[in-house]
Amino acid sequence: MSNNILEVKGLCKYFGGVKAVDGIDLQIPKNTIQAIIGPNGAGKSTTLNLLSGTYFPTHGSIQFEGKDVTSLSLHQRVHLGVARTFQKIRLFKQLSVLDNVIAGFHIHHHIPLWEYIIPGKAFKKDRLDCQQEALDLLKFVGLEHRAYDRAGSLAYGQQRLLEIARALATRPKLFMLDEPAAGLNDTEVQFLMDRLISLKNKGITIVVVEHNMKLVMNVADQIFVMDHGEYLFDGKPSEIQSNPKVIAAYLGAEIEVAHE
Amino acid sequence: MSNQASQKSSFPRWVWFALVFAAIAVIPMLVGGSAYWKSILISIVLNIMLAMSLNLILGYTGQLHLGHSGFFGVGAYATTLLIQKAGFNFWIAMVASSMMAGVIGILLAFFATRLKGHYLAIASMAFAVILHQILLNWDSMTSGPLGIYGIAPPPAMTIFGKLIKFNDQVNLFYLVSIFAVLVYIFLDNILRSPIGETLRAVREDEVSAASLGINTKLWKIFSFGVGAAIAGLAGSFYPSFVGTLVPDSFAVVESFTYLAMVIVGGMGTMIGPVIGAIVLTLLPEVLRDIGDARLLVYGITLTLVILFMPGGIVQGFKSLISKKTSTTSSSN
Amino acid sequence: MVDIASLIIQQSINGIVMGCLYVMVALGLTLIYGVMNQINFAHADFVTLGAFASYFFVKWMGGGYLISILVAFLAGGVLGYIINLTIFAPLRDRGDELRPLIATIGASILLENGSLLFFGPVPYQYDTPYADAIRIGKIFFTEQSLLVVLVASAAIAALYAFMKFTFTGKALRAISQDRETAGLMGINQAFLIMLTIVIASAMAGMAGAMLGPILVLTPFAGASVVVKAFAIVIIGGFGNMEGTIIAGLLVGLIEAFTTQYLGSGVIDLVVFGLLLVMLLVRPTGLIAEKKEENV
Repeated sequence: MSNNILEVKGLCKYFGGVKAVDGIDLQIPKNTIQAIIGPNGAGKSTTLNLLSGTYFPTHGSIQFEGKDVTSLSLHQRVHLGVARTFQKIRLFKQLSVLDNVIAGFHIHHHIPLWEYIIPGKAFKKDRLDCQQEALDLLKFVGLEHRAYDRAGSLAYGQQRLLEIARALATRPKLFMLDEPAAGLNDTEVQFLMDRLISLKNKGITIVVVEHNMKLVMNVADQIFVMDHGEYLFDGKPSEIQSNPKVIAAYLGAEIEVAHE
Repeated sequence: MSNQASQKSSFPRWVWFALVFAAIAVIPMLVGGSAYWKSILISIVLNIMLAMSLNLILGYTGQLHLGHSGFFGVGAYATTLLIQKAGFNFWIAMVASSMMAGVIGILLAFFATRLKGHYLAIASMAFAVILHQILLNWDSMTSGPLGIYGIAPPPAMTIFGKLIKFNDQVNLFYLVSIFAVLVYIFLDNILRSPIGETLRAVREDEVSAASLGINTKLWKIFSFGVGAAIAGLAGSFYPSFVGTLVPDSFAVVESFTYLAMVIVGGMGTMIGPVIGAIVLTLLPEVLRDIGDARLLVYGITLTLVILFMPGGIVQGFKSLISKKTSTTSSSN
Repeated sequence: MVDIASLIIQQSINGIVMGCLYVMVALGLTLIYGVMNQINFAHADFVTLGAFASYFFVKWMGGGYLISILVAFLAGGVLGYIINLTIFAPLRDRGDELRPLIATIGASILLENGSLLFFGPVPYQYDTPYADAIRIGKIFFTEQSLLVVLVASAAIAALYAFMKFTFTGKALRAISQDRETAGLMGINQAFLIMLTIVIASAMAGMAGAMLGPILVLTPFAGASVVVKAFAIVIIGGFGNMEGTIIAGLLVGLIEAFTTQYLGSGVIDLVVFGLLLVMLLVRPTGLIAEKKEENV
């Protein structure tokens, strides 16, 4: 049995004449952190959308834990243990912070049908458990003190963290994040890095699309580089840094990495 | 709507319901012997049911639904025809036509799953127009624009040894009120449960909802189906109430009246549609001097509310309270 | 055989005449949608009020019918300006599709029932001075129909040219394609949007003046046309001028032939049934532009 949680073969996504993603092969081992990087327009986000089921591929196959999930939509993959966050913040801004996280327990309720109409013991237990677990998740991202505030009232960085907490409520095995560090300051990035490693230690596999090299270099076990929708290079952080192809793809800009 | 359990702790729910039951019991006596006002009361209750069910679809699930009159009509005609032509018992006809309306709601939901916003609004209107046209043109079944006459009220029941006849408007009012309260409790419980969270998620951001495992298509279908079924249920009581059933009672413009009730009362809250239905049914009656100004009143209130107080009367009430208690942060 | 041919030509003419009127109304709707992503439910009532404006101009002020069409045009424009001022402009930029839509529904109900109060429910007899019929073989049409086609074609052509060839027109198309970028290019959006609504409403008013003699003139006259206009806008594609023109003529033709063979009661059913089919099969319209949602 393969130790890969995700196996991708020949993945392609064409929008009319535009080949956003063209022939990507990918293997993601369990319990690792994989980063997908590349210059703008490389097709990173599209790849994430394909992996999560937000887009359907034009060609290719995706296997999750050995099962073919290529034709499954996003919500169906969530049931299997895939979760994702978005580049653009998509919180339920009118709801409270806590309610946002609780919404994430959608697939995990254990309430018999009739108790939705006439609440009983199982209903109340479920509500309490959800509330507690949601607060724990908020504690994990450092937001438990804002639990009852309107989600829209949070600062940008906090909203990003709330999105993560909400996605974690689905109890994923594979967690995909689309540019989670975008717009965060250094302290926030540091905290994010810390949380990602903590998640990995809890047994979750993580895939990050990122531009922030500090985060990528310090957190990823494996880095997958894309350019113009195609595979460019992959390897460990140390291998990426000095690879001429990668540097060329970023237009010769030096990739500065601050090593701890 | 943040953790309702912790919010409305001013009075436990059963106290509210006791008050409501008391009010329902007493109200008919307030209108004395006036048959006119008794029928207004029944109208109010039916409108409450229609507004609540529309609110489920529009306010909680965020679907732009402008065809609710169609479901009401299906309920009314199905009940009447099942009784008159197929010899069904009233109660069975009521259940059957409610389910039929629900099925038609599910049909409309298939459009809702593919269309968004404006497209859905127009599709739902087209739906209502088509249903109305079917009622008008299917002469053999519905007698077309002439309508169906002499519809009997629900059959008399014996409760605690007393015979209760429903040609008595007061008894009919009690009957319909009981259903309305049951519907309210049903909807309220569902919306406080994870189902309510799911629907709200669909309303706020569908892509986001999908990322939480929510099958948005399924829940839209649920919402339309249940909403339509409740409208159909209200519809079953309508023919016996009016005695004569004509298709024009279910023209598309009536959908706008239910819309007005939901918006003016407060979209996306449980009590909003109830208030809206009561206010908008009573207002034209109180202002009777202007003549047939019912729709004009709706138009004015709807426009003013949506422009200046989109959360409706409920919002107005809340801001009034928060001003009086002068809290610095009001979490909505 | 000649009879069938003349029948077809007859119905085609009827269809094109109605189609022209539908196009005038629908174009306004599609323009408004294209430029501001809003549906104006009150559009119908501009048609109605245009009809009333022209009626009273003729009846009370003794004006000529042709001039009354211009009057209706202006009346429509003024109404559009007011609606923009009170509803669309204040609610813009809030990213809310629902509120302006409902506001226009409210406005529509207001206008219809306000008119009901003013004008009463009894239909007004609107006679056009161009009621004479012209016969060619077995085919006949009234001078009014000819007038409709001429005026409508001229107006539609003018609008089309304006959109395609003038700077303002191009600016409007820029706004409908990408509002943010257009704004960055220094295009005064608020003014142009107002202009769009005024033009759209003016056309609706003008259509009303020409519809007056054909339809039953009550406060709800426009309502019967507008839901069909929505159908046309959807079938042709929201914001798509060419599509709307084709769809409008198509619907007019479909109506004419449906009346001939199935009777007039079923017209609405056929048109809306077609609409629902379109929405299922090709919601973006006949001449589609696919926009994938940016996640």
